Amino acid sequence: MQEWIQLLIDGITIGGVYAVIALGYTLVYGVLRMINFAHGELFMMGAFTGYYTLNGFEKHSSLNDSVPVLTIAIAIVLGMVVAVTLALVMERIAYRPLRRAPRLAPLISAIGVSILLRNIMLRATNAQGKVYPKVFPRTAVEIGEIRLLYVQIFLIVLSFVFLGLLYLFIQRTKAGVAIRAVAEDRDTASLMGINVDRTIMTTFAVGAALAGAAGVVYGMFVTTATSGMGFIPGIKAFTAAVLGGIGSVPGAMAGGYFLGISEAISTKFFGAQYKDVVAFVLLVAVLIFRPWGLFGKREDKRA
Amino acid sequence: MAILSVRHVSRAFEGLIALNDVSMEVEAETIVGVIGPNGAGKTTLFNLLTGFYRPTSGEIWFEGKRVDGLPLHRIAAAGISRTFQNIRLFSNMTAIENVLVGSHLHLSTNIATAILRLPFTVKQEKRAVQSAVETLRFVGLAGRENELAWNLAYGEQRRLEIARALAVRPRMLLLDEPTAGMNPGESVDMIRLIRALRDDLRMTVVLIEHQMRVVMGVCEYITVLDHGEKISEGRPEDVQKDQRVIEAYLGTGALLSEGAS
Repeated sequence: MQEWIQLLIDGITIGGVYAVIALGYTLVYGVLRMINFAHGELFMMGAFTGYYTLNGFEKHSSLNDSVPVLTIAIAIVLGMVVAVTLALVMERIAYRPLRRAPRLAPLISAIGVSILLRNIMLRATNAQGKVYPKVFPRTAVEIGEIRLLYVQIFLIVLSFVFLGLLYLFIQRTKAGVAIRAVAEDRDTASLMGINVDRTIMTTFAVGAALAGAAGVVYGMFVTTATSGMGFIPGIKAFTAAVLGGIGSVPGAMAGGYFLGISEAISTKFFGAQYKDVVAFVLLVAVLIFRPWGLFGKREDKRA
Repeated sequence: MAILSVRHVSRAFEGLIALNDVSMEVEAETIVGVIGPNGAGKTTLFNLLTGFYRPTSGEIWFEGKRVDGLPLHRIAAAGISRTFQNIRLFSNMTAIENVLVGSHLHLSTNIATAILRLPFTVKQEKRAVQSAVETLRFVGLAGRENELAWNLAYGEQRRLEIARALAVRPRMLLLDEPTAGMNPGESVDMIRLIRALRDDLRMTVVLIEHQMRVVMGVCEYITVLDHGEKISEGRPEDVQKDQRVIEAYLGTGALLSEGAS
């Protein structure tokens, strides 16, 4: 029993990361019908920003020890700012000029942006992973045989907070209403007085803010930042978004946790080295049997 | 004083001239019909007025402001709103949410105010919802607020589109075939609603219509297009007698009899 609870907790931990990143894919897909394959790199840039911020505090002050809450908060905010800035630049330079182009064009452009960012960081770090300073005690809370790292608790809680905020944003704010309207029908939305360009930028910004924050927290969890670290979580989060039904906000959230928990449970049966295989088998299965995902709508029903 | 002034507007699509040197003036608080056989350029005219297309030449002025060439959302903000021939609601949203999208321009909630629920925000939200409910009641959809748009009956969807267009708080409303596909009873209700738009809300209404009974019954002024050109305009009883109009309609069904569509 305790083993299962442990698996569940581990699944929720990583699932929260997937869910938060997956929202970026699903939101952008909603308004542009495009997969932003550079989204994982925003996550990676967030992780590096977190590293440089926390490392800076570590070297030049003792704030990481005295007020870790403050330094972590600053790292997360800066991670978000960097990711948002990058996302807005890539939207303007790499995607907006291609908005009326065939659907394949922005996709390839996105892959280009992804490779570019990864290689910039590879060069900037001389291919060396950056190890985060210790801001969380590496000890764990133990309840029976269940082990929970402090950073893990932080990650779980923060994921919930971000998902809640995002939901509130989409449902209750002016910009959220605009995003939903643009996702359904761009032209009609603009006839209702909605500025479509600005709404698309907002969508990128919101997705990037989530990815940047997730990058910082994930970096603290795995304790290292590397230039390639965005790839696997990015692809996994994309899988989660597809599982939930690309374009669906609740779908991305549920898909993230579903994928994280499935992976965690699969390690019990197949060992940890096969968990990526499990994730992608799930992706293929969903694409074959239910391509619109668990929460999505069948595209072919639409006019 | 004319609220809308279309001046020598032409629009060509790669050599095909959809609209050729069309001018028209619409007086404030009137109900104006745009009629003509299929392919006459009526919908092109609407698309020019709302900014979907830019005129190839000519100018469009609304309330003393030049609006041709403005982005769609700016034209909406200037006070022009429309409905579509083939209904284009946000079908996954409820009726009231559709209307709230329309009133989007007049809201100011952001994530901070949504979390903090400041009295100002709550009040503004309440007002928006209240006015959406009133708008729905006005078009005859009281009690249907929380129904998903695609679950509404056909006639109700047409009404909801009008409600959503009204939420933008336009001064001029463009209705593209408001009675298309409706049975006679529904058409009569729609005529009543169109009159109420003008009488109660002091709206200027421009409509495209094929059902002559609707056009003659509700419009005070009519512009007739044929092959992209304006061939006649005037009061319904005069237009009906215009020889050019009668000729344009020959072969597509007589103007005076029912259903020229």
